[in-house]
Amino acid sequence: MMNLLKLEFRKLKGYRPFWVLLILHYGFLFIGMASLSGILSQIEFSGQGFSFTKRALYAFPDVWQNLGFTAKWFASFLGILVINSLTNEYSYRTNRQNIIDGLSRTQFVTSKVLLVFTMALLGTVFLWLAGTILGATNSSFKGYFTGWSFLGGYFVSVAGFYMFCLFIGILVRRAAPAILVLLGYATIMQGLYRWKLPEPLLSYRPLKAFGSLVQEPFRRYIPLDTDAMFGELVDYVPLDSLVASLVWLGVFMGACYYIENRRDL
Amino acid sequence: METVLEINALTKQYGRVRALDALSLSVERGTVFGLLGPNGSGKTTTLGILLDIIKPTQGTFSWFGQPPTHESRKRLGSILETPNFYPYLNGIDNLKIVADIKGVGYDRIGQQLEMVNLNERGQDKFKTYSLGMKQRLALAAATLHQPEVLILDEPTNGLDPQGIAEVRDLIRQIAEQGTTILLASHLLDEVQKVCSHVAVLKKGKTLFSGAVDAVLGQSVAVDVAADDMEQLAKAAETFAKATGTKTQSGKLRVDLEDGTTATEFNAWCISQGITLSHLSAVQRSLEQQFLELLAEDAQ
Repeated sequence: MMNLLKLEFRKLKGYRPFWVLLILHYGFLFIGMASLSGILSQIEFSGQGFSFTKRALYAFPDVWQNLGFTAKWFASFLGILVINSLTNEYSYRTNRQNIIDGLSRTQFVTSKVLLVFTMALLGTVFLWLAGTILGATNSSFKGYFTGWSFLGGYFVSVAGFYMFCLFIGILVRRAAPAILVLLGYATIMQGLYRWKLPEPLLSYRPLKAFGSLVQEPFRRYIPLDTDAMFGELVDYVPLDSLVASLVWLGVFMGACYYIENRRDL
Repeated sequence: METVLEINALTKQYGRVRALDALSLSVERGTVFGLLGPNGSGKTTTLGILLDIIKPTQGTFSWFGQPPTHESRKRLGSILETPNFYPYLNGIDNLKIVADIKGVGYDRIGQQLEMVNLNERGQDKFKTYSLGMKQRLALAAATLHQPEVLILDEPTNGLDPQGIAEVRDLIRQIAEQGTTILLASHLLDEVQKVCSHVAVLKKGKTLFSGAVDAVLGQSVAVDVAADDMEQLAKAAETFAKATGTKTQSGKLRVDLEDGTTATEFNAWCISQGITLSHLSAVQRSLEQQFLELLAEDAQ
């Protein structure tokens, strides 16, 4: 396992676009997290703005969901890196060469699966660090150890999305079409689900399930009765979303192994 | 002799096209084995299956007497088609990736780069290499771990005459060190120059296989004619040194054993009371034989 991760790291080490995008991503994410109060104060709903104090925004344990939800949006962009690291192998035909040299197809997929989990872990550690720093500087450590379930929820949410990207990449094998499929999926398939699936099942479709783990928390800062407008605030990681996400994560991961092990390269 | 590779009735179907049709052959350790055949005869498909980048429709094969796994592939060194490396990595890092996959150390990388004359370009990115340099890096990678079997697909394709000579020399050198070589080529001349054994493929089938000398050995033939062609044909078949006869364009083609001369055949005809009205010796080139073989199969 460690050897496969090491191999993946060696492949990426000299690939500058990966590191540039990764660093830019975390840079912008931290700026976004730190200026969250400024961004929120610009938003108004029917003449009514958010009502909060900076201290409350970054207070433990609320900070985990507030920042986790923010980070989730940014994390989607890194799905491109997952797709790219895979489609590069197909366009350079290095996946063939890896297999010829003595990697098994399963090991090849495992090295990419490890990349997915490592990137999700990196994002989670970053969220934890940013939450700790911003929470401690703007508020106090009171309640620091509560609400960590959002860190776990964030990890599963991001890992699930990246695994979905990996699956699309293995299926399509070319970077641009893969990204188009991803975008197309988000619009066409989601519409199709909405049309064909009965209401209770809708919240279990893959991207919805991943997205439901860390839900939008800012409605709690709107003084109006928001339940009628946006629905109830979900300030926990819903268990049914977690189960659905883990199942989808497993399905996409299994599909990657299945496809790669059966086709001609 | 130890069998390194054994192929049993390998079949590959692409839609309605049968690229390989129950192909069977075996390769002994220490031989230079040529897969000879025109384009589309299934050579590359065969190598692809042996290296697990193509899945066979039917049939089995074994490396080193074992069912194939990725572990057995680590004992092989292969150069297929174009060299495949990470363009944004330098030569050394690309070889390190190969070493990681093969599970060998990095200590031989320097000497390998030296062997292929790339030691001064090791720190440069692969994408800056010329085609010749890319091919040399592929050779360095394929022999990095001192493989037991070296697999080459059309190794001299696209090279100039000097490059061709160099590569053939290199193959002979590597073979002399005891490495088994499996080489696919559509050039009869190439197989004859470097291989000890050969299998001739056509449309995914083996036409024949065996030692190069036996299969593609030089042979002579005579074209003869006489007033009574029937009598001549009967007589020719009884000639002890004749290996086959065939009537073509009004003349009789008599294939003769190696070393038999036209004079001998003429003398024998006279002893049989036949006077020849035409006699010409035919030196059959290997190329011609190869083409004839392919043509025969097509009929």
